[in-house]
Amino acid sequence: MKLQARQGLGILLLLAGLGLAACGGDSSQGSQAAENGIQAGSSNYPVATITILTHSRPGGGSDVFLRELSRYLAPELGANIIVKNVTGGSGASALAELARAEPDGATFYATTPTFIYTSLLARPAYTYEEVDPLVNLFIDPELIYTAADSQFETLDDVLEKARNSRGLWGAANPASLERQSLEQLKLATGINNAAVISHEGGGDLMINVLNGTLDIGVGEAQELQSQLEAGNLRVLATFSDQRLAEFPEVPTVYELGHQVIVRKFRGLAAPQGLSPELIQRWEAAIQTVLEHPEYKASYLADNLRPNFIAHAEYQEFINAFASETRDYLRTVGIVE
Amino acid sequence: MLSRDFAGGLAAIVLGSLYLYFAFQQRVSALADTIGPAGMPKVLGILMIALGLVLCLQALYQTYRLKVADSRQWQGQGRKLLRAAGLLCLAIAYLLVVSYLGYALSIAILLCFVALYLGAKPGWQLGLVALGGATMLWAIFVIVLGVQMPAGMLFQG
Amino acid sequence: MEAVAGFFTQFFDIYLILPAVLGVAWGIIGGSMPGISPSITMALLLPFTYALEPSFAIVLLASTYVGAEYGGSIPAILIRTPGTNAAAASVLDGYEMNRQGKAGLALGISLYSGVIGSLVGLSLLVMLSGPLAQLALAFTPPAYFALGVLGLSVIVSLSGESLVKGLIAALFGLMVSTIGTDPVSGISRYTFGLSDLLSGIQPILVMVGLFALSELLRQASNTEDTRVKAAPRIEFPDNKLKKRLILPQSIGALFGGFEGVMPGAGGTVASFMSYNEARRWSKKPDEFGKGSPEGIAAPETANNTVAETSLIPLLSFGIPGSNSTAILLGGFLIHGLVPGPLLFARSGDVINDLYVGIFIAAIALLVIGIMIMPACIWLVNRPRPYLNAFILALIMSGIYSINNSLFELSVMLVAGVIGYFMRLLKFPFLPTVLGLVLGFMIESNFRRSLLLSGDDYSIFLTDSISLILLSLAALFIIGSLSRRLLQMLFRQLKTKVTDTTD
Repeated sequence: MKLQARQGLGILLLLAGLGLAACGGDSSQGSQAAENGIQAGSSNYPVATITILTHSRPGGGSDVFLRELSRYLAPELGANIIVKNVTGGSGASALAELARAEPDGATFYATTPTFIYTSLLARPAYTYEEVDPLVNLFIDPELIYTAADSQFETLDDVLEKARNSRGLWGAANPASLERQSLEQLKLATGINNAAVISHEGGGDLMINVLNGTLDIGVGEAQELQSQLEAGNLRVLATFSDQRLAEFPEVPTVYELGHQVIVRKFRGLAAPQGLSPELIQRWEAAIQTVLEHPEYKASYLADNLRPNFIAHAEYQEFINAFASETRDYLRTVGIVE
Repeated sequence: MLSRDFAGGLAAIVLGSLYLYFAFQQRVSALADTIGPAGMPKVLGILMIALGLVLCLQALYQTYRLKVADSRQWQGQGRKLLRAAGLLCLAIAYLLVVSYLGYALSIAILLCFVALYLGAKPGWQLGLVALGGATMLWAIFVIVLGVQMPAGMLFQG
Repeated sequence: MEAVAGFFTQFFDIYLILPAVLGVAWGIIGGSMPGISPSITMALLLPFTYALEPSFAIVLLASTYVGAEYGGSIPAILIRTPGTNAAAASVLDGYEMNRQGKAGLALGISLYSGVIGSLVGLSLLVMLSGPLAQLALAFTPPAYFALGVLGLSVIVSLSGESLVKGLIAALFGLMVSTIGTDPVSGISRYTFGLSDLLSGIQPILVMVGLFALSELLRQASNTEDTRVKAAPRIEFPDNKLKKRLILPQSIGALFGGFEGVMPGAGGTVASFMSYNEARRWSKKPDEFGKGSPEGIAAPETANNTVAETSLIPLLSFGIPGSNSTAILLGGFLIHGLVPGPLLFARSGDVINDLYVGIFIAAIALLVIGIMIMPACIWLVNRPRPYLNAFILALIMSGIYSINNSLFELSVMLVAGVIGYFMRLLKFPFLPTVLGLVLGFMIESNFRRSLLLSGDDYSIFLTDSISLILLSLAALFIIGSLSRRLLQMLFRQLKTKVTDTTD
């Protein structure tokens, strides 16, 4: 029917991919790490292959993001990039693997708030303090949304209901940034009569917003995209520091007078002791890649917002984020 | 002699008590609901202890009233337990050495020793099965499924 | 109608046969490895789909799911190791039939039921996607709580001879399910500071330990090989047996069809519920647990139906209901397709290809299933020392592969030791498995419901789905309890007459 030749090509590629996995298998780089192989041109990068670790499963948020990124980053750095999924221990396994790796520019880790949470909630062998935050790439906006047929037109309507009767607010997971953002909103607005109900992931949450069980939910733009386009959901506010290009009419929580800003970051971390030359090299490469027109079109379509933070400031950013999170977890009594 | 049911009841009581102890140690945060993180564990622990008691009483009733209990029900269990413990030790040994020897070698050794332990005769057939089995497992997991098995310290670099 | 028309025009598109067949083959391999779940099998494949055409990639992943759900029953029957969570219910009668030398027939029934389940699931997906999606949307926390309770009610009849022991075993499973992050407040419970325990203990670790490792430990003292060897060929049910299987298969398809639609419920409840109901309605309920063909047909139909109907919430809302559909969602996103209300309008051709691909996959399942079975049966007919050594090596490899974690391997070993003692003291395993699988769902939704209602317990009766499910559960429990009481009275009368000799 359609595109049959290309489908035939597809299967060849698939078989070739399996073959590649076979070759990589015994040299400790299995096929869980896909070969995004764009071979280096003229390169003087110290290693031929860079491995970026993620605690995300194949197909998960960070995984999809990294594989897309590495397609553009590899030629820029002049080395192959492999994405390796080190699941388990809620990020602790990946963190441990990074902390134990040599700082030779061959191993990196994709940071998300998860690695801070795990460091604070449990006592993993290595915490965020034993690795070096390298650069930040994106900050995903967290949106407050409600069902399109609900009575709430603005965030104030929601807060009003919570003041007058009882608010039912939903977060995707019990110990997550989304949960934290809603709890902080409660603190900032002085509302006590709102139950923040956590779910088993964003999908579970969205169903309960769609069927009217909950007043509002908090989620990333990417998760909401299809329901927003179908007109089943309405965005009331964003937790970002400024209004979003895709939703220019949606106010930030901050400008509505509640001092809560949430930064769900996506960046990279390295083992401690990476040489200044390599750090500079990565800073330059990431900046170039973020401007790459094709990549830009791709990540903007995925609702990722570029927010480059250089190495010098990223350390502070992560530490500030961690201490804010630690304060929050202590205030609400989750950790001592 | 204790009947199996009595032993089972005792085990349930011990497990329930331990579990309940930790349920009472459970930290509760300000985010918790009315039931709280320790609510269900407490109920489970209490139920476990209660059911353990019921089972013990049932067992005693059967032993003394109905005289169902039979001292022979434990007969030969000691030897069986030792045999099982031996097999478990082999599995634990694998767990301990796999990071050093690597997957392929460790699994071959595991195959060889377990087969020997379970009564295979030493000889070329045993070696062949251990090597063949290890190769097959290695092929399935490492090559076909592409799982990253421990490479081991011996052959690194 | 359009879907049906599209179905036939594309039916002969041979280019969809390739991914469907490849996917099924891959799925059977992965699914039959203990510990490697359908979602891991799919995840291992996902990176390669980047380079493929969208239709090709989606069909490949969906067929893998179909193959893996079936593949899980192979080790369940042959080596008492459930390859997937949902296959745990097939262990009971499958392994018993195997011990009676009827491995070929057991595998045949499982395959036959799996193909039927897949086809029923596909028809539901194609024809009833809309209404079933509405059902998924109507499921609120109290309804999920009630669903979990309904699942647990099965324990009363699955407890074997002693109800008290069954309940203790179930409590143990529920206890294990509380390990990890508290679903409501986010605080850690029973983790003792170990990050490996933050996300809880995966049911598959416990299942493989309880069923498979405990069996190996028990056989360690058996030096004589007294097994009945199976003829190394697959055997399909004859017409008489086929007729007998219609009822359990319908029950399986019914439960699987509904449960697949509900995000988060997974296929395990469906397989256990249908196993239990098939026994309740069976003409030969006493055969269950002793190698009943119906005891394989019901759960295997159920978990293969789930594989298709769980696509309904994914395609209709973009909401993945299980790990496997989450991977499939990843597959869609990689190719710039966003599942949700607009997917049918925007990428209808991919959806049609998906339907056709699943149909081909169901057929491919039959063919590939028949082809690989003689090899499987040959393997389990090897001398016991070699076979058991191989099984141990296989589960040690499979469990490690889940997260490349030696910690999880240790958890499985501990579960094996516990299983050994549970067998020694004659505790049933199934209640433990059910408690473990359902504990989280029950507790989290119970507490969530009370948060929603402001600690008003009437929410469980005012929510209509919850009311229906809870009434059903009460009915089941009362029914099973009274049957149990009757049996007990009957047995006591009998023992008085014949006097105790045992």
